[in-house]
Amino acid sequence: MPSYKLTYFNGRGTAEIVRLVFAAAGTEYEDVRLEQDQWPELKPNTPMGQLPILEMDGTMLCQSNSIARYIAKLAGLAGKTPLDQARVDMVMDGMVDMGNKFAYEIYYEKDEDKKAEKKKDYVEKYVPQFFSSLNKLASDGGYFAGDELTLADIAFYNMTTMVNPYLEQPLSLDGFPKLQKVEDNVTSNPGIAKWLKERPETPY
Amino acid sequence: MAPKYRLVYFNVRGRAELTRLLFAAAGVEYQDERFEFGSEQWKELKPKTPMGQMPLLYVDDVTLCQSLTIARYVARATGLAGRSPLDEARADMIVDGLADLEKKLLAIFNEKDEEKKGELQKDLAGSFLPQFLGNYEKLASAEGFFIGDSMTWADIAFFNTLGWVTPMDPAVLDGFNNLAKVVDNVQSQPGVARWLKERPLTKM
Repeated sequence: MPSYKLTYFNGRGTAEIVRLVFAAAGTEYEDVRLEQDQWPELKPNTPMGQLPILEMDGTMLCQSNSIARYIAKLAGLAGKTPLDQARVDMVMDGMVDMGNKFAYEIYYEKDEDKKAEKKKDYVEKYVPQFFSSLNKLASDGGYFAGDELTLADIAFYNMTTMVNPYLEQPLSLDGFPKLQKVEDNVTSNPGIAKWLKERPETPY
Repeated sequence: MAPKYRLVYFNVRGRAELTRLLFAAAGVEYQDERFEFGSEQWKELKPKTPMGQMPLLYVDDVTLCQSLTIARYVARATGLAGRSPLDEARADMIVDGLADLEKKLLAIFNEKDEEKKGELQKDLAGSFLPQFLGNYEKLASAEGFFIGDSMTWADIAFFNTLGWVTPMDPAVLDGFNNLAKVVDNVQSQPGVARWLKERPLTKM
């Protein structure tokens, strides 16, 4: 088996989806966390001047979702048929949209009044509508593809918990019973449960 | 029997064009359904779609959304995704990275203030693009492929995204010989060449 080395900053950020997949897959990897002053030296040696990167067998991958999909694929967590794989991708892309919307419309908004307004809209209109769509896509058993845990379920959990700390209260799954099941399936996965207990506590 | 594909989007290139190019390159038939902006048809269809967005790909009776998910699905189905999990990950990475450039292009396109627009264009041409294309030049081979020694959806995606830059800066690939070869390979591929001649001319 190749040796995997994941490099990112000391935070969850865009690397956490990869760490969660490694955990669910039970695949060992080196979880390298750089200090900010170590980054400038490494940056020009990365494919796109960004983190996270995954190194294995002398090759380097970047782009967090590509890395996550790759590790998930090798562990059978990316969907069992081409259509299931597309379902997994579709949900993951949707979660990225949800995260990006928060980042660009709210997190980076400098005007405090605008920020508050956008946050209200996000929590009261956008997310409930999006969760309603997602709830329809999930199975009764709480899976977005097939009847087992996939990267899609992990992506749902990861993005919602990523956004929650920046809100007045965590996003509600009331009225979305299947999404609650998805979250339960993710957090009760043995590898993930262990990681959630053991992972470093970081500000982001 | 081969599945029936129906691609649904607005009557623009936009987020559906990559998939149209892939179908063209692979010589695979599909229904290229286009709505005008503000159409009643889209208003009616929207609540029945997975995430209330287009493009959509109907594969027999399954509905997929999310433009890159759709493109990746078609790439896989037509043998354009890469020949191994690692090659698929490399292709994914190349395509994901293009989103950074597309975000800048969208910001320019959406900017109504002419002075601000000019500033954004200057930043793109003077600062972002040289860095971005420099990274991508290293990822492409001298033969003009991002992955291995044959065309994948990564090459076609690069060609497609660059198509939004060249109107602003026709000489943008000067000095980037590998990337110029990628573009050359894609536009001279018979299926693509035919589509480029035949496709509807739209502003975006």
